[in-house]
Amino acid sequence: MSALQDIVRAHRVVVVCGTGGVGKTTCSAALALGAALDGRKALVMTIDPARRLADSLGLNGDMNEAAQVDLPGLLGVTPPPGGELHAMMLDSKAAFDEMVTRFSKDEAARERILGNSYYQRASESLSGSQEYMAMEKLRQVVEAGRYDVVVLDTPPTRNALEFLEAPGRLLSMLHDGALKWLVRPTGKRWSAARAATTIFGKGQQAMLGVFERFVGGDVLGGISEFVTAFSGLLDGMGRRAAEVMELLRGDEAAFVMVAAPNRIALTEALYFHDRLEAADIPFRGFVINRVSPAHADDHALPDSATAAGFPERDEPGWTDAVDAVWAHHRGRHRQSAIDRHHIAALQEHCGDSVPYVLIPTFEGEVHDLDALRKLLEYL
Amino acid sequence: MVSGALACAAAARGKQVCLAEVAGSETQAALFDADPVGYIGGPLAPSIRGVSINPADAVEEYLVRMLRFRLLYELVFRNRYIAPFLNGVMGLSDLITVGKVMDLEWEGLDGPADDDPAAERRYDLVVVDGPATGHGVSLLRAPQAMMDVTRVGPLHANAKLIRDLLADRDKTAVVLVTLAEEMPVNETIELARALADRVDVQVAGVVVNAVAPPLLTGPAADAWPAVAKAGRAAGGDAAAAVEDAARAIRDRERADGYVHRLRDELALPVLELPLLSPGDIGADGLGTLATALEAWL
Repeated sequence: MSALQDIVRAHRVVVVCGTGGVGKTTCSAALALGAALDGRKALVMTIDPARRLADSLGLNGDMNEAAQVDLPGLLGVTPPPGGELHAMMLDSKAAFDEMVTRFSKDEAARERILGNSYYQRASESLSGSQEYMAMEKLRQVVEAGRYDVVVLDTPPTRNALEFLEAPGRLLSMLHDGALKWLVRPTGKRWSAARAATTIFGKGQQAMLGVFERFVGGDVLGGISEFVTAFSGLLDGMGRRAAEVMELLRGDEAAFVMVAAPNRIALTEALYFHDRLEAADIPFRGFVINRVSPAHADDHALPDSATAAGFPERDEPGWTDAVDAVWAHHRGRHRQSAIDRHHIAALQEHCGDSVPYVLIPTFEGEVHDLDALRKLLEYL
Repeated sequence: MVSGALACAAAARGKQVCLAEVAGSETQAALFDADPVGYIGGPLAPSIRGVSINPADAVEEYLVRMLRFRLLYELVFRNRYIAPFLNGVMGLSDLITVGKVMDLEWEGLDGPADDDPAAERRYDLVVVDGPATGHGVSLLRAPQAMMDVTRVGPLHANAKLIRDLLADRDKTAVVLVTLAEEMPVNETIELARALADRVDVQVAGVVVNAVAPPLLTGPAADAWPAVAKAGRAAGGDAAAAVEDAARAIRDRERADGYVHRLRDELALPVLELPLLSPGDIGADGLGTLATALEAWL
């Protein structure tokens, strides 16, 4: 099967989405490996903090910058001319620092942000910052034009569209409305009273005073300082986010979704598919990972182990062992049928216009290049 | 699933249990085959009440109570610019999620019992179905983090109450739940270390969920090589069954290896729970797991 590899071949950016724990990272790495073996210069980017991709690719240490994977050394394969595999692990904090440096007007502005006590927490915990950074880095890499194809393993999200929506929310939050409230006019001490007059009108000053005492005035002051310092970056950030969305909606990008074959995961996949279609995002295919292998054309099993061909013997443990082995086989068979039933329901809903790639459950875990190549055979 | 089973096991011992989920999720209701419980809470099973802690509702409840003016809450915390800062940067929503858990612990038979140790409690046990690894540490660290940034004031005082409850060895324990697979085991070891380094809380142990029982034991295990040989010789379905079984045996060996790693690297009790068939994920399965958890209570 090569349905997904065809998709990778036809695009410059492949975004791999899905909820956590379905094998998104390994599928992303396998797709990039496929592109490399196809003679293209491929980059796989992941933001997964568990460093799974690093494990998958046998890379250790810091990977904030792209590193080339030694395919001949690790896989014993020399890709065709031009074929290279690179991997990059996004450290959201480091990327945030980098962005601050890039968009700061001057050294002083940069230092003010990097030195703010809220900045560190904000860069790690502000909802949307991880997603924003992934997009920012993606744009940077695509813009630099060093790779023929970039495969992006998206951050695990509860709601799969979060990845696309979070950056916009982050920006609108940081945008001018917030500044009215929080920005300290040059040379003047910030105060809740002033903020109240600016945004809420005079009548409510007393209440803001209550609030200030409750939270502690220095806290709001600190946040205000942070937002003030950040305000200079917003135009640049907003422009970049818009460019990335344009790139992702365009012909060069393809979205692929990885799901597991259980009812809950597939319900989510289905919902995500509908949301992407509604948002006009180019959805190109499903990968259903860890499907119980189809047992030879799913025929009905014989009634008993004996009927299946196991001899009967009068030895200790023999009957128990045969019965257990047979019961287990029947269980696998049943599971396989259930998986396929769920997948058929997904296909019925989403139609035949996109490929559905089924990957069987692999033995052990996929964390070396050989295993990735095996995975690739199904993609 | 494990938190649900823990709640069942406690209820089976005659305890009144509150089973709380965070981040507004409602997975327990589906497991118990009950109606969604929402933030107000609802019955999941006899002696088990469920609550789904949605940060937005928790923040509202808390602040309206603390600030005493609903209008002020509406002004400040419904403000789309301010709320994200308080929630995200300062960890207010995490703090108040844990604070809501404290409120549940404090619930008396008629109204709040607060921290009065003599007052009779509505619940004997509050089980919290926590978030995934990454968020777990920041959730448990939220009270201390808030204390560090506020230093003084009502918010500081509340954060301290919550932190003290978490630190109380007699009242609070964290149970880590994992799978017998490489990545989850690595993450659990990292999580246990991060908790030990960064949060003053007792970790009671690790539950390894969904461990497949050995396919063959005793004399049947001894008979396996001969059965495998005979099945392969017979070909067809018998041979396929042998391959399935051989795979299951190898999977089990690998799983054993991961459980050993947990035991070796963490000085914590480790409990294995059996794998349930997909059809048993629900009320029956909760009972099975609850029985296995009995020894832990």
